[in-house]
Amino acid sequence: MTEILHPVRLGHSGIEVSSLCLGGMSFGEPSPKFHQWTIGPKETEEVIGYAFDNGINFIDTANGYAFGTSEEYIGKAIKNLHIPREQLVLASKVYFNEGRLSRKAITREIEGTLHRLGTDYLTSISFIVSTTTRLSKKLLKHLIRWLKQVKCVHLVQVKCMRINCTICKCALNKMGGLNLPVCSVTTICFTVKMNEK
Amino acid sequence: MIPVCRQFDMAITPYSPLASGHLTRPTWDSDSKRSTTDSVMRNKYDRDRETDMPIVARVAELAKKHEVPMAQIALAWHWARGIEAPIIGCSKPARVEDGIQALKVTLTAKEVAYLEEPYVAHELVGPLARPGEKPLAGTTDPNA
Repeated sequence: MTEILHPVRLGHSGIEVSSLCLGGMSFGEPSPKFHQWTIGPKETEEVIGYAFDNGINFIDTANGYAFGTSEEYIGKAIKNLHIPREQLVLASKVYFNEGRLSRKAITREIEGTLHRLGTDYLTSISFIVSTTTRLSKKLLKHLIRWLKQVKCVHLVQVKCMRINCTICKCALNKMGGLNLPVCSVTTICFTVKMNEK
Repeated sequence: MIPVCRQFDMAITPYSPLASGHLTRPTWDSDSKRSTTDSVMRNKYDRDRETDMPIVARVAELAKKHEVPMAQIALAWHWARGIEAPIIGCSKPARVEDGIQALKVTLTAKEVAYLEEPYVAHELVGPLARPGEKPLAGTTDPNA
């Protein structure tokens, strides 16, 4: 990569990303049960190589995209292109998987994501939650406890569905109480930065 | 929501900034593999076809004026609105290049207003439904 393309900050996390993020839903094995228009490993490598060479350092994917093959192809591309991990901001997600956001599911899914991407940490992760039960203090504490245990996840995104301002503020205050500065929003996602480990 | 994000110093990185391709061509339908096979996309966007087409037409009009592909006008609108990093899916390097070139497109305040003028609020797309409510369009949930 030359320089980051039009660098912007992910809020007060201090993380610098390009003004374009490469979306991972286009990568992976085509399937009538997901998408039939996704591209293969070679094409994925071409797209990621071109993007990285032109200063795009930000890739967003999900554990469930093309049943994990999006992450797999991204991981292969990064490896084959010899892209230094620290020069990339990698984001993935947990929710649309068996067990949703149970402790067991989160552990299994993040470990799977790291394996498929061929990395030992994610820069950011989305936990998809909705306004009612899923934003409880208990859930947040659970997620955070787990993440601290792993020590490899620097950022957490909590994707708040059907959000409104009151709930948004409430969630942020709760996170604030847990010393997690919130730094970005993916449409309706919060990203909070973990304390440095 | 956006003012709250700003208040708490959060970046905004929206997905689907090109509306699954609807903002990249003057016609609603196309014969691309995605257009012809992606039922999630249809589920998300088709119901608003009538209300969205006037905006698609205005994007096409500004693209002609700026002599750039429509996708670049749609992306430029995000940055003109202060968005940090829209998330775009690319099936080939040329699409990545389109996105990069879009950073050179500057829309005037008048052009931004022109694009937004026909917009009417849409039903939510993508979010999880509240417990007990029927699923909303655009949520890919193989475990549902």
